[in-house]
Amino acid sequence: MYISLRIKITSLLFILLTALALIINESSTSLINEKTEDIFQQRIELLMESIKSYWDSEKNQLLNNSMLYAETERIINYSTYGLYNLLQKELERLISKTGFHELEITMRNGLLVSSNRSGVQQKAPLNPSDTTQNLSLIFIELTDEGLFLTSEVPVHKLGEFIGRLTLKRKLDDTRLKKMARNLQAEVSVAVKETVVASSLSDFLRNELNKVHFRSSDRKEDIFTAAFGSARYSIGRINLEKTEDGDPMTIYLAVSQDKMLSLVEEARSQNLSVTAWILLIALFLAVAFSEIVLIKRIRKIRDGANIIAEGNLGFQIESIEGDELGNLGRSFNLMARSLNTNQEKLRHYIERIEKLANYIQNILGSLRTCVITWNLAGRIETANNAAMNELSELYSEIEGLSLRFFLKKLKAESKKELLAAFRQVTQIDNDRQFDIEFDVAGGIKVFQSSFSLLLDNEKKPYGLILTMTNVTQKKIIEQQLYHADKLSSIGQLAASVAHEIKNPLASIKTLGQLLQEETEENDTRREYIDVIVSEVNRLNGVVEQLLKYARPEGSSFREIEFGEVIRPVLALVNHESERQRVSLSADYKSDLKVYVDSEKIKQVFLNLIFNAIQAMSNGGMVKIIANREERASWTTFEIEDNGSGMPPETAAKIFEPFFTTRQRGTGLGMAIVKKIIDLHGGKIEVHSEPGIGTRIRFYLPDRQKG
Amino acid sequence: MKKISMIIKTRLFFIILLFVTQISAATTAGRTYRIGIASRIEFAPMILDMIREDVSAKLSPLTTSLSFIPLDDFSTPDFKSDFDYILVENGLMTEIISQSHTDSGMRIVVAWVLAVRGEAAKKNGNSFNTLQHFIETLKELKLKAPHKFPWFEPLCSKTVLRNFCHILGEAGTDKSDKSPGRPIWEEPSAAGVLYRSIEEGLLNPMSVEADLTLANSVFAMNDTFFSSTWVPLPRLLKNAGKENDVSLLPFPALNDSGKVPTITLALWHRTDSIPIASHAAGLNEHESESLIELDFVSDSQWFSNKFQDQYDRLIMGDF
Repeated sequence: MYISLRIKITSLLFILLTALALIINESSTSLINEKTEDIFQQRIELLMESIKSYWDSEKNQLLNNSMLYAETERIINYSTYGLYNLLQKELERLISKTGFHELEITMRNGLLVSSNRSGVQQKAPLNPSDTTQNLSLIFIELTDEGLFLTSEVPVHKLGEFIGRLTLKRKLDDTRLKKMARNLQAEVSVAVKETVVASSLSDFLRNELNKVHFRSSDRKEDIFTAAFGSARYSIGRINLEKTEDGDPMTIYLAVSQDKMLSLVEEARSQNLSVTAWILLIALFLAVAFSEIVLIKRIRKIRDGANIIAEGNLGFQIESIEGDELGNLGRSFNLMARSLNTNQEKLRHYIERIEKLANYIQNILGSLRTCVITWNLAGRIETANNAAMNELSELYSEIEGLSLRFFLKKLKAESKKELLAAFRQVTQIDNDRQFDIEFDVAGGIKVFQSSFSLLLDNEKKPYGLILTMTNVTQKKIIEQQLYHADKLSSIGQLAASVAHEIKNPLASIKTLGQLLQEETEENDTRREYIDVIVSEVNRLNGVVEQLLKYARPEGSSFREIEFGEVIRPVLALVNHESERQRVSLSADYKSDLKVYVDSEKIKQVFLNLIFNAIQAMSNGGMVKIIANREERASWTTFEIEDNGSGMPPETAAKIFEPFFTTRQRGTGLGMAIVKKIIDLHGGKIEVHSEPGIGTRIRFYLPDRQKG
Repeated sequence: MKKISMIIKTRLFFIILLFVTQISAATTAGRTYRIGIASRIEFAPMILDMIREDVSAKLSPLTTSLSFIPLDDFSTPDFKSDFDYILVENGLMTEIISQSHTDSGMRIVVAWVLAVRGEAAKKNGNSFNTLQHFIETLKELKLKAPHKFPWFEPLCSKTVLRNFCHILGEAGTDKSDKSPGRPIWEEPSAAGVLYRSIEEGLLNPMSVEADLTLANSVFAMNDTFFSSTWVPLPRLLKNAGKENDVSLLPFPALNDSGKVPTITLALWHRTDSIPIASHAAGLNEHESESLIELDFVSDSQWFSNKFQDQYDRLIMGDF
């Protein structure tokens, strides 16, 4: 999977910064938690000190107020002078809005006047001689009405003890709630194992009761307790015992919820800040990777692209001293080295190209076909000669398989080639063999041989097939063989004809004498005419036979073709009209040929007569003469639309004495062939039964020099 | 535009009308009238409330709020009276006041009487025939509630002590008159009666240092059964001495049911348009044989010359 360097670097930096940010975040959160707990601890400790001070202050205030009230003139006078209702009102007035629960005075005679009750109550008289009556007291008392902090002081008038004043502060929920507001902490008071007053709600008070019960054996004074879903830091302060000797404890409870929510808020703020830091870190990572790395790497990449485009002289500039700078220097070194090596390489390539061209030229110039095969039997390369020779057989040479190559070969040749192929690959023994291809209008014969293609280590990695076109040679050899055969026949016929000619001359002379001596109306005259006529015909045959067999001199000269063909056409005109055959001749007026004109006229005469005679119901004969530009021969064609010939007939028409006509000598086409051969030309016949026949022959130009 | 201007004008008219009516209302119904009191009496708040009710009934019905302010020094030229009304005790110099105020003719008579708690009054048929009767009643009450003093008096008040002297006499300056074992009611002077009453626990000892306000409070708080007080005379006459379960009775004398000292206050109003609904003529016509019209001039001389001596006797019991 492709991942770009930018992404890798950015990701790496981002991961590093993220990890760092998260570590810092976690550390700060832990620190906040620790500090929060410390703060709670300190706050509880502070609150415990405060509550102790508050408690002392409360007692002092109570006592001081008691003393102050006890010295009030009205209190003293009203008490002294029995103005108890007024005293009660005064007591009520004094503690109204002060928060004290009750102010009462017990007279020496036992009458008790209280701020909370109208009227006078009779209690046991006080004993002035009891010295404790003159003491100031402060104590805690738990009554049915609740928990009270009570102070008692003596009341004197002019030094005389007149009673005791009692001031009470009720430690009830209201008082503790007020205290809680001042302290910013919940305050509860427990006596023995019961919470008697608290600023907490009923549920939390019950929970605290359980905690109080459980914590009776606690050693630590500060602990954390869970009340339902809320958590509280609890501080415990043991105070003095009540008047009944029961232990009294104050519990301070500070809800951690607000602080925890603050911590949570701080944590979320931390996270928010961390997220921002990460965002900035990502941006910085991208910027850093872009500026510090990617930009410089891109410069090296662009340099590599420039070098790849061929500009090996390129050098990276402003290289710094770090790793990427080293990479840049190495890059420049590589570029310089490449530049140097490129020159050498170019030189080598030029040499190789020259050599390759040289070899290619050799192969291209060879008339011998050279085809290389791989060991799998597929053609790798073919030189120009092979391309030319085989182009009419195969549309594409290179890449041709052995199997397909064999298809165009004659059966015998296939065996030969395969045998040679096996032989050279198996025992490295090359041998020459002939292969023949069927081509249009004949065959192509190649003298061939396989040889191994070896590498530098002399190991074979292919085959070389060389083929030399020997078709013409084979044809000539065949013609020579045929000519030899015809020559023997001709010489034989000529010797026979020579022996026949003299008797024929005697017969003819005697016949002519008989004609002269016989009357025209003599019935024998008809017989004598037939003898003379047949003798003449025999004589003609003998003449032709001698013409075919007798060596004759030739008179070659350059002549306009028209001078050759026109007399011929005039000569056959009568016959053609008689046979209802139209003649046409197509040739350029300036066409010149280098021939023995009389013999060539004989050729055309024989061919045109043959054509006319092939069309018993009339037809058309075309005579065409043409020479291609820059060609070294002239092509002639005589084409008819007569009855045509089967192939076996066409193959024999140039043999002497072969004829399909009853009165033919079978020498006309043989003579045509002989004259053409005499001119160094070539004659071909194409005939299809029912369509017609076309005779084409080629006559070479005059050889220069 | 015309419409808008009409609306603005209409609204402006109503706003001005509202403003004018508010001002006129504020100048009459909403106003507090300040009434200065030029008298020897230090009226307790309770008494002032009674006087306020009576005066309010006689003034304009729109006058709903009266503020009474005692005047310490009203006879000097430095007196600058900006009071709406001034109640002036008969006998006082009115030259200075008359410069800024006019006598409305309205008179308010206040009487000095003995206030008795209903329980104690019932027991005695709402009257005491003699001082002896009164003293014996006190003793009975004392026996029933030993911790309570049945009688309380604001003896710090010069006027009160003077009134006691008017009723009980101020003889006894001669020490030979002193007769041990003599009943209290036979004491020839007010100081003697009061001193003996204190000594025998009938009169609260605190009375010697109590003013009228404290005495009223003690009585109001039911810390005593008897206490003298000043009340507007119509209340005394109208209710035959009964007011809120409290009977107002003439203070008994040695041989009779006693006399009622009175003071007449004249109402002066400011010369510039202070409304007076009607003149309360005839208020001072409720005269009877038991009433003693106190004379400011002679009493002032007594305050100056004899009060201290009488008070010392009261404290020291040196008759």
